[in-house]
Amino acid sequence: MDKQPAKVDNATLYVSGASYAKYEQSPSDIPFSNGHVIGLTVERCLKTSVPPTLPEGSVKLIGWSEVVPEGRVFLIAQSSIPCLKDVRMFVGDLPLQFVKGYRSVIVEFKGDLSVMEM
Amino acid sequence: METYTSVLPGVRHHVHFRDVRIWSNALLVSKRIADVQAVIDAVRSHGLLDPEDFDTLQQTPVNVPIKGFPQTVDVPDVATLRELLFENWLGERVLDAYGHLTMTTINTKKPNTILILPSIFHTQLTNAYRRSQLTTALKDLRESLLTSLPRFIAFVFNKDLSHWAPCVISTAGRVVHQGDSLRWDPDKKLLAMLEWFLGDITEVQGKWVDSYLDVPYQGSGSGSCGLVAFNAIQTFVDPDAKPWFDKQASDWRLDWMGLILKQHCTAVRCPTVVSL
Repeated sequence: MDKQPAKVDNATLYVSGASYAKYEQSPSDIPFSNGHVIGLTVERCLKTSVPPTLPEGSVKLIGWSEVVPEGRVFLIAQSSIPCLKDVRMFVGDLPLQFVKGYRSVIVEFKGDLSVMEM
Repeated sequence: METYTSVLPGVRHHVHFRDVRIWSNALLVSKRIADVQAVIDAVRSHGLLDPEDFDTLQQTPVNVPIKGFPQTVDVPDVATLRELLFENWLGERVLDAYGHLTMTTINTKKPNTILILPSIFHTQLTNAYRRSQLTTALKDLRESLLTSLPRFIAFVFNKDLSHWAPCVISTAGRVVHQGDSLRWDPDKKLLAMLEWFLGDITEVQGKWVDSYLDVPYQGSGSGSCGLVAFNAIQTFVDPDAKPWFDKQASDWRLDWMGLILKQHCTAVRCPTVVSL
């Protein structure tokens, strides 16, 4: 987490794109995985239930880590997910951070929350 | 097996990139559900589709462009059709889908009457004119026009990244017609750009001229510039076409939605019927 980020050129980013896509991919039977979302029909979409979002600022980006977490995190406080504004703080940087060698994002949850690991 | 981990304030947690992606996807789906629901509600409440087409729509993937259009047309997905509700501003994909349908309808009545170019054309032309160099796409377009020149070439283009306006070219007379539903000034460089691009493809060479295109006023508080622009093109080419009336804006929008969805459903159920 504390190491200096390496400089990444566009060619490296391009070559590593496929391996990043594989790394961030979840099986398509997992709700909201890329495969699940692509396969959604109008009918299934309207039957899909999206968890409520936490208030803005509930998830704070601390940094990036080379650790590959074993558990899965989806629902926070057993029922919610971070709001779009919080997720946007780091989701766009994932490909670049992957190229730099990072494999997880370090976040701090505000408040006394329970995290459900799947 | 699901386990729960308590996270206390100040305790840091590692989250795998795949789980961040799932959060992001879930938030995206949430927005999509709202858009798709609005479209389905409009289709149901206004009877835009018959039951068979409605079943087809229900089985349509929400994140894939609708069917029934050539690959060269950048068409919307079902959720994007929400732009056609209320007074939302229309994006390129809805406009280009409707433009293709309009062109097909007019040319079915009278072949080779009109070529409606995609909304990206004006940007492509502007860039090529500045560089004095045609792109491959524009070269291909010129080649096709040399082979078969329609009576009219039309397109809508964007002003100030916020407003659509129409342009119709009468190829026989080398006339560039421009108008504006908000009475904004015409694009003063358009005539020169079009003459540069099309100057030697007309049957008779000569001077190109500007002309006024009659475009109805879109109404105050309206986001319907794209619809009015296409109506101006239709009424110019086909005097029998129904003229725009701002009080009926919502009917026009629903008409567009129904036409685009019917094209999709027909293409899904009977692919051979929809000629591309």
